Amino acid sequence: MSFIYGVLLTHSTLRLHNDDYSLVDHDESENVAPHHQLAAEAEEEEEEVVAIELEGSSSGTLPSPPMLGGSTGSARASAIDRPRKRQGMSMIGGGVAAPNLTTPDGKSMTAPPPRRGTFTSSTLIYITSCFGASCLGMPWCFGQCGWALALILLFLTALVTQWGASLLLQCAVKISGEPSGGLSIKQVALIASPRLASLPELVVVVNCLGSAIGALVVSGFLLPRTFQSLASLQESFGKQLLASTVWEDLLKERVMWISIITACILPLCFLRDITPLKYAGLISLLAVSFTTAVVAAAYFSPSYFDTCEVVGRSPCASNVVAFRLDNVTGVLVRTCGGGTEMLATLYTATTCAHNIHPSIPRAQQAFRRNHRRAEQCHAILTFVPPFPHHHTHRRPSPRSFSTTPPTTSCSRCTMP
Amino acid sequence: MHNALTKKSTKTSSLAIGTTMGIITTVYVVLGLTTYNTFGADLQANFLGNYGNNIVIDLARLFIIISVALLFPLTIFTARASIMSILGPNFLKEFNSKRVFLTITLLLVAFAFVVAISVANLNVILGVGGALSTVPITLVLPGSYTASLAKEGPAGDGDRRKGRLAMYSGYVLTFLCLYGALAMQ
Repeated sequence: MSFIYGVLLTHSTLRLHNDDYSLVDHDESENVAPHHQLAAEAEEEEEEVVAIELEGSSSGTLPSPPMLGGSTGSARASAIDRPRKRQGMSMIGGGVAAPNLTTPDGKSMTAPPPRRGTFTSSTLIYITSCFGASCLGMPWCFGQCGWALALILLFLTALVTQWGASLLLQCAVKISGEPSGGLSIKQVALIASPRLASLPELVVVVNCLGSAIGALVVSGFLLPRTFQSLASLQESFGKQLLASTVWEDLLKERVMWISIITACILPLCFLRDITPLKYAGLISLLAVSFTTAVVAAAYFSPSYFDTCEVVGRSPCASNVVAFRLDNVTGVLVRTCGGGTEMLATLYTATTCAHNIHPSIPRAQQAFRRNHRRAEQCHAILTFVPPFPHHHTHRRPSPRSFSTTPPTTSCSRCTMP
Repeated sequence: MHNALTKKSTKTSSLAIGTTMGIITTVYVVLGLTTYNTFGADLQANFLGNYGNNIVIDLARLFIIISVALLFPLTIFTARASIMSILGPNFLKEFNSKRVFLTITLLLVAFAFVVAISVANLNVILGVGGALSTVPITLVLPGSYTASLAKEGPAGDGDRRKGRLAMYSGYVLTFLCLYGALAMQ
């Protein structure tokens, strides 16, 4: 079951992932680049040279336009143009004017960051995003609905999530006209429902806030217990950890511990470049692996961990059933809060990914796409080759795009 | 993440996601089954609360605390980036972007802190978060976009129906999950 679940989730995420399909496109040209990118050194990318060979005005070999469901040339052109018009962008002469934002030290905010991602870093970032507070709450779902029903519901949520992901992918394919999709959810939102284009970002904010609150709640729950446990261990060795009962009472308060944790991690929240936190994934993986091993050990040797003593009966597990249907609401809550969160956090992972290993801003990709389509649209709409002479066009470099409005004017042809 | 790879390769990305999904699925199922078979229906919202005082369990708790504490700045970072993206460059130009950055960060941390000290039940947090973010991401948004982009006429009826089905089932799930999460408190 777990294998099927994993395969299903992997399949759906792969489809999105392979198509560069992330939840929020923070790097879109009209947006401000995340601040972590301010510190990133712009990678020198070679200017892409596009040689367009034209052998004649009528029989010229035009760049093949993207297929849009087998539509005709003009329909194809209008279909390509329509979304961009909705966004208030001009296709011909393409590109969008990126704001000329620079950091105080003069670096471009939209400069392309270096590619530093590897298999290990990618895996660790995904794992960081998937393991959170929900990992601690998942067993409660098993307790609420029985082990078999819990596994079935996990499987069902995986199916539902996969369905939603495939719908998103279809939308991206429909809009972009590319078989691989190639649009972010924000770009899809801009076209499908322009008035609520910021909704996906809002959802991400809610998701992140939920995770952040969950982290504090978990810390506030676990720290007093850990402290008490360590204090009792000290006492068992004949040492008094806390001389004052006032302090002892105070340190049992979860509010106190939440305040301490918040104060400790507050400076990290102001980081503009969170590369130093890239090992959080490794720590998260170690923590969850260790906890899983401990939990499994506690299951197989309950006497060592005194699990039965804690519960107060033997055998300590009560009401272990395959199906329990008396708490449907609770099941739904945890299923949706935890089950589907596994893939949803992968969406979020794509937004978190470039925080740690900055990716190339999508703005550049969008620009390249727009630029290419501008040429194609021009050719389709005017029925003349866009470049009447046989020469080479040089596209503006990503850096020039990111800092100044792009220009595609050509001194040797009439292309705007 | 794919774009961040030094050598862009679908194979590498696929392997990374496959490995991740394999690990997290195994962990989720192992955690669920072993804890359930250990404590049965007495499982708490945070299963580590079920265990008693033991140095190994304490170590696991400390590990988890460090792990979630390090996740906190990452989530604040992403939330802030999204908010700044919603505000747009013009807003940031008009006001001092540094001040906006600090204000948003402080507001996010303060909000998280206030809610965390007010609500002790982890399941309420996860339930509300799941209802308001995970279900919309999974069903409502894809469904509404599919319905909106469906072609006019009979050719698009199937897509429109599919989209509306996803959207409405998402609304129902959101309502149920939100109700369940709030009713638990």
